[in-house]
Amino acid sequence: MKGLIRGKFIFIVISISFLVCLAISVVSYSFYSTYLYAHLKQKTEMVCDRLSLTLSNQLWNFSLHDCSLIIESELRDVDVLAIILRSEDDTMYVSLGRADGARNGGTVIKSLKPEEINSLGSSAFMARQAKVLHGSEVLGNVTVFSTDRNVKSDLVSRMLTISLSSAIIGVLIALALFIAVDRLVSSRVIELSKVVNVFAGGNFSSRAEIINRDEISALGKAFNQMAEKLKTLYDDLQSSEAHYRELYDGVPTGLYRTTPDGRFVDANPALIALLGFGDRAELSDIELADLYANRQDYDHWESTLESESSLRNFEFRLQRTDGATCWVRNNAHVVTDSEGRALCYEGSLEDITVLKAAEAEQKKLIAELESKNAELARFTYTVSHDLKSPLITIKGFLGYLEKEAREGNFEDFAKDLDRITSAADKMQSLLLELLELSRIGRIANVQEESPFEQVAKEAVALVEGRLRERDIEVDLARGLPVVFGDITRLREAVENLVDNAVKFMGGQEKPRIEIGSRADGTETVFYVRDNGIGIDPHYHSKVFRLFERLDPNTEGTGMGLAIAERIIEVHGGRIWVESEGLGKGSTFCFTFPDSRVVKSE
Amino acid sequence: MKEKRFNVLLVEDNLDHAELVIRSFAEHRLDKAIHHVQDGESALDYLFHRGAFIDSAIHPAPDVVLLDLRLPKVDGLEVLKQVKADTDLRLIPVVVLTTSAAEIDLVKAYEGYANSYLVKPVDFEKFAKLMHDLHVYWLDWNQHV
Repeated sequence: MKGLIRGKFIFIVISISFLVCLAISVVSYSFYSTYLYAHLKQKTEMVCDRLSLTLSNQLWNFSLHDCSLIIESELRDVDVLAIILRSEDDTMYVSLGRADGARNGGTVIKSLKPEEINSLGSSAFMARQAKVLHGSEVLGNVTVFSTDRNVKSDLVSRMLTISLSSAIIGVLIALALFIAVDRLVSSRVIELSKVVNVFAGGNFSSRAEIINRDEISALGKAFNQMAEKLKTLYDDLQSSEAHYRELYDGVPTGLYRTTPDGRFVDANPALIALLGFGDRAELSDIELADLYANRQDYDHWESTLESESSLRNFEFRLQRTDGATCWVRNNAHVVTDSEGRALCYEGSLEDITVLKAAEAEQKKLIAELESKNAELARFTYTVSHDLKSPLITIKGFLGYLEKEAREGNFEDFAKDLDRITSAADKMQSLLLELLELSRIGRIANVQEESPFEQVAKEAVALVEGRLRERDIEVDLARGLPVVFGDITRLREAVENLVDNAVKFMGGQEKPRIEIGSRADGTETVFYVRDNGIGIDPHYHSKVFRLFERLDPNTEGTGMGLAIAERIIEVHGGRIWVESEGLGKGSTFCFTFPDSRVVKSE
Repeated sequence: MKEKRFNVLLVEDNLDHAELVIRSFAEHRLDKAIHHVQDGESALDYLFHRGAFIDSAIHPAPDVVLLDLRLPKVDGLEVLKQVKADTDLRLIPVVVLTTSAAEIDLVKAYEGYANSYLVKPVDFEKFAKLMHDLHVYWLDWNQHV
């Protein structure tokens, strides 16, 4: 580049100096030639005029010798070629000329031969003729021939000198011009370009030196302003980049970018930690699909991104590299070029395991609350119904009592009074048992360990009277596991189950109740089995409901099994009934959580 | 022409309540037979002439059914559903007679095409009046198929 500029300068300068030199030569040639030829012409005329005067006396005396001497003296002038003196009637008096080849070594004069006189017309530069007068008498004619040979050689030598000196001046001017231009323009442009190159190379503090107010300085100044703006922009960009990098590195959400075929291009530290990696380099071996605990989740992710180019709040189980899984929420989108081709995928991953657990816990609590609410509604409903029922009986028959008393109908009076009494008793026991039911789980008794055999034995003892009344055999298994809980309540539960078995023994000839336990998988199932009337499988779910009685004619309030169920539930267990149907007997089964059962060795 | 004998099917698990209904109805001279069953299963057996109720001479089709809702085994709503699903039985008016004033029961009963919904009053005078009006309306005035 710098060679190009200098080369052009040199070419321009040389061309200009050549043209100047040529112009000077042409001008000075035309000037000198005009001047020298005019001078030659004048000189010729002067010689001719002078001779016409000086020869007058000699010719009058007809002293041709003297005439020759005068002519010879005139011939000493190198520009005079020949002089011829003739009479008026063309008689040759004197004809003298310069001899050829004696140009430098003095003047050689010779008489001209007639053929030489004839050729003078063509070899001479010019001829001048004058009359030689004496008074008014014409004595003869003198003709002067001059040559431009000397003028020509003079012109050549002069032109050589002028050309040479103008060439030297031209070269000097060119040199001066080149140095000036180089100093003023080229070197500074080169210097400026160096500065720009340094700037372009990344050194943004590189600045041009401003020395004056010329155009190049203005250019430098403009460059400096531009550089300053660029530097500010670059600094802003760098600080912005640093700011975003800090954000990217510090944010607790995992951020990533992958190729369209699912390989990681970039990931922030949060993502690397979330996936269970030590550093970014390990990510290169991973494919996106490997991170999904369930392949279907990945398929869904991929197909959604393909069809909709973005995915919002997609939750899935992430497969960490340490083998663990965690719940994450994913937002992703496809980055495309102007023609819609996928360039990469960008997205975020957020660990929502804790959130998920809380959500599940919340759902569980809501479900529990809903079930409790439903239970409460059912409870209120049944209680209001079942408490209202004896009231209707009492008030209804009280109405009849009054009538019967008035009429003296004492037979019906006694019967109706009995109805009233039993309805009142029923109400009382309902209220007592409701109170009992409400206490279960609400009032915490001492939690202790007791062999289940002991619990069952005491429960059976409480219904001893009715068992003996119906002659029912009780078979209590030995070595039952030790249970941990509210023993008084557990005894009550077993008592209710045994009591229920007694109630529904029916007309069984060999009534028998069996209490024991069996292993069901890892669980210990306790049971109270009877060989009584049994329960139609259709009603198995109804038996534990409050006040629910399958047979309206049996005694009791319909709360025994509800109480037993509540006690087992409060201990964290489950209770259910197994029966193949009517006449097949029933087995009431219940379990406790492992923490409450001490298994026998 | 012999006057028609009315048949009433009373589905009531509470014997005392049944007695109150029977006594109230006895005060009206209309010739009628009250057939009392104590649970939903028996009510369906009666209506469909099954089991113990196979003889339709002893257990004729009722002109009106008085149905309690809370019943052992099959509850009143299920009885209602099966009755109204049967092309013949659905013609028999079913009067729900219950202690429950709960809206859910009321709605479910009417959804099951109950013809009437009556709540047993606790007060004796009101109870007696209801029984009287019930008799007058459903047995005396109401036309039966």
